[in-house]
Amino acid sequence: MNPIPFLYAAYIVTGVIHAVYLLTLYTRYQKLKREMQDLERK
Amino acid sequence: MKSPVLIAVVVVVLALLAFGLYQALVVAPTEQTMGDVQRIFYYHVPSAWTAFLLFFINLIASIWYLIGRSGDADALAVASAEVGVVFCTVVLITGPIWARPVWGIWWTWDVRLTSTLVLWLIYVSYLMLRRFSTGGQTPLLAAVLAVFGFAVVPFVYLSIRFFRTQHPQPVIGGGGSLDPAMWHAVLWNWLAFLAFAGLLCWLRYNLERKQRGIEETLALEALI
Repeated sequence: MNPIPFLYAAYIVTGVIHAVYLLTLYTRYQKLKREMQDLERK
Repeated sequence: MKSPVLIAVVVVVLALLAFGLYQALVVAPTEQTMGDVQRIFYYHVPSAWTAFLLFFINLIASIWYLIGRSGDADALAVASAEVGVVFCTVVLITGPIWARPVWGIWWTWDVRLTSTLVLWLIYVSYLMLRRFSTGGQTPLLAAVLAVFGFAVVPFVYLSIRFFRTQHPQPVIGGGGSLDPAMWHAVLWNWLAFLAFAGLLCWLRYNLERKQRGIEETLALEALI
């Protein structure tokens, strides 16, 4: 069994997990920004 | 959100992560028995240490909340638990990816692996409690769950000493020896992950505080 794909898979999966979490944070910040703008309009 | 300080912190974190990756893939020597696949160690172990530290911060923030009912403590508890779950997820996924070529299996119900899964489930249930419970006692219940939940962390760490397991002994205090170049790679990656986790916690903490500010404003408006 060639172990190199497993090495790359582990590093890529780590990057993907971090990137997905960053994306969820970004999405929540955008939602918060919209809510703040709505509040200001009121 | 796009302050110069934040941009500077992001640049430093990215530089540390890149340097850690370079240390892990290029500088660290190849392990004799496992070969290059052992380099998963440089992400797997620092991720575990970072998760343990974040769960410890969650414990301290929860105790702080239980003593003083501080909203800031509660926001810090949520942020540290959420980021801790992210790093614990990395541990639970990179572990089986490493195990498959080395042990020949993806998973075994060994005490270290099982207790890590239980730890992850405890903090996921903590986050679900926070997300779906609507009562005013939610922060209190979550803080109590966090205090009891943290008891699993030392058990996870010490399990490989007290039980016969397939998992290798701990890097710190495990009796084994690690090449100094390997140590450097581990420590650089841990520093990078700590900086990254600190940034994520800071962002999540600020988000939580702002969300609470909006909820309080809306509640006040509803009263008026």
